Parts: sequence; structure tokens; C-alpha cells
Amino acid sequence: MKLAPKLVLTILLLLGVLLAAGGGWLTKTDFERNFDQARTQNTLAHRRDTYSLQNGLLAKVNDGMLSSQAVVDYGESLGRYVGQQQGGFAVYQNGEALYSSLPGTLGQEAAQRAIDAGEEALLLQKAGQDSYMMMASEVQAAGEEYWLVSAYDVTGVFQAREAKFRELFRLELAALALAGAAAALAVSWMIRPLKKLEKASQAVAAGDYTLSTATKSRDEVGALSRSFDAMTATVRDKVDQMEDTILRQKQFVSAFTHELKTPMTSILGYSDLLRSGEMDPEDQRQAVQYIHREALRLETLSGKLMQLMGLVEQEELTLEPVRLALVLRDTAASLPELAPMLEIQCDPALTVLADRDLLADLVRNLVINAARAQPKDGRVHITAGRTEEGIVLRVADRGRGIPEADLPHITEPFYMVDKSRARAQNGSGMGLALCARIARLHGSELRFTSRLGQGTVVELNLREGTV
Amino acid sequence: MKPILIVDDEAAIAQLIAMTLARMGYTCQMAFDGLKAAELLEKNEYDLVLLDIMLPGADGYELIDFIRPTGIPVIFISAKTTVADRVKGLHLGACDYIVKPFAPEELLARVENVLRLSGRGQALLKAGDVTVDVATRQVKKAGQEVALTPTEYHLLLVLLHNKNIALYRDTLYERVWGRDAELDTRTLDIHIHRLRKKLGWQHMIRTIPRVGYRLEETS
Repeated sequence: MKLAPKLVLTILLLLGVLLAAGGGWLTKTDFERNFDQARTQNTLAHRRDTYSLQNGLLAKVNDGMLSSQAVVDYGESLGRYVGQQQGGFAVYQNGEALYSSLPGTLGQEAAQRAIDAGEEALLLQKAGQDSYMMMASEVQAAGEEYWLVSAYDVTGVFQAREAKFRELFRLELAALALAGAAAALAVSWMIRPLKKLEKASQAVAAGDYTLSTATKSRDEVGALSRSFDAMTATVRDKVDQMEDTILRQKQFVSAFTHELKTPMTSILGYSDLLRSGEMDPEDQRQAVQYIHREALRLETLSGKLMQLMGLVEQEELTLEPVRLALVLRDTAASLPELAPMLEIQCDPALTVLADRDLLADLVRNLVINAARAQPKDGRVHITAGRTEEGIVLRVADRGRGIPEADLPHITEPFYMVDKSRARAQNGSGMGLALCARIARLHGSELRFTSRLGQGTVVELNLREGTV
Repeated sequence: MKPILIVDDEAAIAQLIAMTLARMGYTCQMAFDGLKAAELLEKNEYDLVLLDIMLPGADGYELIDFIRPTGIPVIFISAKTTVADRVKGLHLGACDYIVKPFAPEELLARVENVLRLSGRGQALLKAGDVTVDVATRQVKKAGQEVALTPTEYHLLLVLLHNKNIALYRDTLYERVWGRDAELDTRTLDIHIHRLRKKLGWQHMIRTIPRVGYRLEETS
């Protein structure tokens, strides 16, 4: 069973019980009051009748004797006087009715029971549709004992009670119907956020993380929907991240296989030509040349790739204070053919927190790139200085520059601004990807500024260390 | 015959294709970027364009739009191997799609196919008075049909594809009998012997000591 009907039914049940109990109690007290009133009234009437019978009978006593006829006569005259709409009375002597104006439906036995019950004892008697209050009193005249049995019609009191009950029942039905409708509305309004939440979680289950429940209410349901939104937002971020990672991996693999295929094609093709038959010496020399060059390219590629893989797996480096001038000396020493181009300005006292080998590698790659840009002045400028954000290392050239559209991509693995030129210069497209990774492991980021035909500046912030 | 244009930014691969095709007597021209290729296409006429997709300047997809109106058949040669890439290439109007890395033999076969189907290349391979109709697999000597077994026919094709080149025995054997066949150069010798006999090529197929065989045609 759903929550809404459960709540509505519970409310209706409680309300029904309360209304019934309250109404019942009200009707009961109301009835009791009416009944008591009728009883008092009837008792008074009975006493009056008893008294007048006593008097009347005494007046009719003749010679100490009272004839039955006299009693009957008196009864009739009293009956006429009192009227018989509201019951009637009877005069009994020794169990015999001398006179009776009691309703026929009541019968002898009822009168007899009233007499048996005793003086002024109340007897309720039902006769057909009607209810009567019966009372009996003893009257003594001329040594004889008579009983006056009065019956008063109290059907009205009972009917009033029943009418009240029926009225109450109708009222209760109406109240329940109204209350039910109101409760249903209220409950559905209260659980509306739950419905939203259900829809949203179904959407999440189906892989759509964009739906927000956005409930404003401050109750528990509101709190639930807010934490649900927070949860989906987190999941969405995680999923986006994962999808991003997968996409980048896919791009990496496809770029990598593409990078592999070109040298493979050359190596396989030329070696196949060589092994199939004799070639003229010039072609043969060229084929061997190509095979060797492409194999070298594969070797460089695999080396760089291994290094990048290693760095990607490495989460943290142990950084040690190292004199920057020494790092730059390492770089220069590893590039003897470019050494004449280098223009290094670095305070020998500058000390940075770094992995000496990796930082030298980073600078080395930047220097190689700068040299390949064919600077107009034939120089690669390396400067290092202290700023507010730490030590800034800068590699600058006045070469051909990088097109603006390419700048955001240059640190992606295998990205080459000019593929054929990069190939001709034995570039692998991995250099800057490596540099970016090394920079990140130093808690920093490479910043490129470049203008076509003017040159490129790469900057890197490093933390200062103390020896 | 008009030359074949090879467009690839990798000089090594362009050269490889040129060398392979040159053996069959095709003349080739090379372009290393899209713009240079467009320039050559403006100036000269070609029988076929072998087109790389990823090119500096203008890429292969742009170039094929440029080539299509001229009616010159195009074969894409690309490292892009996915079905989607290949279908896209063919949809753009390429006659064929060769995936890198490729075997020289495959390149040759596809080039010949496209040339033959477009009515531009030789429908017949010739050597001396022997002609081979590749489409019907008919071999004729001086107009008379010669019956060859499939293996003999295959061997003849390899020889015709490498005219005047001394072919190494083991490579020749591998080409005809497949890479998985156990090397048995006696079988090769027997088939060469049969070919010589059937085609009257006792002198055309020369045995080169310690190398293998060469189909010689002095034209």
C-alpha cells in the first residue's frame, strides 16, 4: 500500500473513532438529561394523580364502603380530565383492573409488573413502536387497597435520541469525507518532494545525473532531497571525471598507435623490399637509411613513453633543496650540440625544492623545443629570479612561435604543431607532455606565452629551498 | 601512361610507395603536404592519386573534394584503421582504402585493380610474347592460350611484378606458398621448370646462383 492512502486512512480512522466517541457521549448525556426530566415530570404527575385518586376515592366512600362502580366512575372522570394522549392510567385492586385507560398494547402483565416493582418504582415498558414509563402507587380508601398504575409515553425521548444518532452519523460521514479530501490533498502536497525524488533516482538509475530535486521545504523530506541532490552532484562529477579519463586514455591510445604505425609501415615496407630481391645500390642504401631512422624514432618514442608512464604512476616526488645553477649546468652538459646557443642568467645562490634529474630533464626538453623554433638571434635564454610567488624559471626564444589555436593542446601527448617538421627534427610529440607532468610533480604548472614570428616564453614557478 | 601522385607527409612512406610502384614500371611524383599536392594536381595530369588523410596544409578529406571533379581515381592510404574512417573515405569517393602498415604486394595489387577498373592501367601484363589478362586469368603465348595451375599462375604474377629484379628464393617461395608453408625450395624449382616449359621461357627466367630467379625482358 502506498504512503498517501496509508496516511489518509490512518487519519480517517482516528477521526472517525474520535467523532463517534464524542458524538456518542454528547447524545448519551443529552438523552439522560431528557430522560431524567421526563421522569421527574412523570413522577410529579403520578403523585398528583395518586393524590387526586386518593381524594376522589375518599369522597366517594359511602358508609365506610367504596363500590367498584364508584372507582370506575372516578377513573373515567379523572381520565377525561387528565386526557389520554400521553399514556393513561389504571386502577387495580387485588390484581384486578377496576379501571384502565392504559394503551391496549401495554397489556395486563405490564401493569402487574409495575405493581410488583413497588411504590413509585420506575418501569420502562416497550409496546410496539412506543415506549412507556410506568409507575404504580398504593392508594387506601375505606380499608381497601388500590393501586394506581400510570403509564407515560416517553417514545419521544427515545426517538429524539435515535434522530440524534442518525444526524450524528450523517454529520460524521460528511466530516470524514471532508477530512479525507483535505488529508489526501495535504498528504499529497507533503509527499510531492518524495515523488520528485523517486523520479530523480529513476533518472539516476538510468544514467541521467542532470535532474535536480531542488525542494525548498525545510522538513525531513526537504533535507533528504537536498542530500540526494548533493549525492547526484558528486556522482555526476565522478562520472564526468571517469568519462574524461577514459576519453583521454582513448585519445592517447589512438594517438599512440598512429605514432607507431608510421615507423612500422616504413620499417616493414623497406625491409620487405630489401629481402625480396636485389635492388640498385642507391635504393638499397636509402631503404636501410629509412629503416634505421624509423627504428630510432620508435626507440625515442618508447623511451619517452616509458618515462611518462613512470611519472604518471608516480604520485609524489621527494623534493630536495638543490642549487638551480647546478640543474642548469646539468642541462647544458646533456646538450653539447646546443650549448653555444644557451644564454643562462641565474644567481648561483638560488636554491629550489626539486628532483634534480627530472628538473634538468624538463629544462632540457624546453631548450630543445626552443632551439627547434629556429630563433632569429640563435639564442635560447634561460633566466631564473626570485618573485613574490617563489622562484620563476623562464626559457625564452625568439623563434617562430606557436599558433594561438595550438597553445591549449601542446602539452597533450603526441600533439605536434607541425607534424612533418617535428618528424624531420626527430620530435616524438611527447616532450611537453613530459614537461607538464614533471612540473605538476613539482607542484607547479607550465605557463606558455607565444606570438607567431616573435617567439615563445615558458615559465615555471618553483618553491625556494634552503640548503 | 600518366604518372601516379603520392601524397604523404612522411617522406619515408612516400618514398617506399614510389619504390614499390617503380618496380612495376609506374612513374611516380611525390607531394609532402596538401597544398603542394593541390598545386601539382592543377599543373599536371595523373592516372591515380595515393592520398594520406592526416596532412599538413590541406588534409586528405579536403583534397579529395578537390580531386573528385577531375575524375582521377583516389586510394586513401592511412593509419586510421577504424571502420568509420574507412567508410568515410570510401563515401567521399575514394576507390579503395589501404591501411598502414601495408605490404608492398598488397599496395601493388590494389593499385593495379583500381587502374584496371577505371580503364587507365594496363588490362594486360606482358613479357615477351606472353600476355596475362588479370581480370579473366587468361594466359596467352603468341595468341595461344596456355593452361596454368593456380600456383603456376601466382608464381608467374610475382615474376611479372618484379621484372628484371633478382628475387631471393625464400622470399619468392613465401610470396607464392604463403608465410606458413614449410620452406621447400625444391618445389619452387619444379614450378619454375614447368613455367619455363609451358611458356617457352628457358632463357627469360634466369637462374641467379646463390640468389634465386629473375625474369628478364630486354625492351
